[in-house]
Amino acid sequence: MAGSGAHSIAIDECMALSYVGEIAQDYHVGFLGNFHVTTALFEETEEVTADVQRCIDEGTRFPGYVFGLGGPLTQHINPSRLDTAVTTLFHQTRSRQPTSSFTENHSLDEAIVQKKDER
Amino acid sequence: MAKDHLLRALHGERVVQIPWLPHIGTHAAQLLGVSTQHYLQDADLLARGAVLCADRYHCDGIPLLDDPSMEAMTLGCTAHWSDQGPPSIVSSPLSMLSTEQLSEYLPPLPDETTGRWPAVIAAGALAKPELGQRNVALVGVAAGPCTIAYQLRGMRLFADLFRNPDLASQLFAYAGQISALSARIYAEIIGCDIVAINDTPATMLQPAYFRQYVLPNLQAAWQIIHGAGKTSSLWA
Repeated sequence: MAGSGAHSIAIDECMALSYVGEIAQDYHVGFLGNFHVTTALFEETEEVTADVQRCIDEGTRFPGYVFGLGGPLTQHINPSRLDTAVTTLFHQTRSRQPTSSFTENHSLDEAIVQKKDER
Repeated sequence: MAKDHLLRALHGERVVQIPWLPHIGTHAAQLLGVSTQHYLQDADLLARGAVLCADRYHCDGIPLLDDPSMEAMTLGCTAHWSDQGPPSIVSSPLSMLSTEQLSEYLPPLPDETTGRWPAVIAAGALAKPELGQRNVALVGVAAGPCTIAYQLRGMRLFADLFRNPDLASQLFAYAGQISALSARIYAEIIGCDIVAINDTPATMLQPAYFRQYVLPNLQAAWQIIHGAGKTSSLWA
């Protein structure tokens, strides 16, 4: 994949991110993905913050790292868990925090729950 | 939100802040409170969904449409729509043919007027300026050669690889043309900053088959994307 000719590669949640980072560095390509969507967002059996921290720790050892999900969101999730992932990422890596729209987001969550209840 | 950081990182550079690009799937439909069937076929909903996700999750880039069956449906495959996820392909024009008949029955090549492309192009026209104001990259996600070949042929594709590699090569070459066409629409017509080729089924192939059937048929898409000055990505 890294030698396919693309500028970057995205990987699923099964690969070891640090292993992919080594390969990406060798090929001078960017790499993204690997956050555990299944356990952290679908099944909710893994702590979101812990897995974001794992991605940061392993990914930032190499140039070209982009935080991303290890697969597409193909079923409903609790959006606040993805909010938590973003907050953790920004808290760890950026000076600006994504707090501006959290009030709106919580209102949106309530609307989503209401719609689900209506079905 | 920093599109430039994202683009630089995707080119293999180390950047100060870790960029963030979600494989968003059909999550926007959930946020919008609509069915995926409605969301995936409506230009306004696709555009609003992309902007909504970018705002809510403070992304540096956001896919316009993340549906790996879009191209196959354009080629005449039948889909079963799901409540929450993207549609699944349930039948295709090539799945019941003998291998020898494949090349004769390959569907005509689509263009930007075929299937859902007009809605996707209209969505891009709506979303691009909104995301541009927010400094968020617009991402086009095209189906890869193995995805398209698999959706057209079903499980018989894997028997073809063993029993009739020349005809399987023809099918992959055709699928590569479809991927390149999608890449052209995303890069040149919609003007996406990033064009990803999503080819998850390719991970089911052993490395030798990946090199033989997939890699050569990605090159036309990369040439188009890079020729348009856009950033490419291979998702699998």
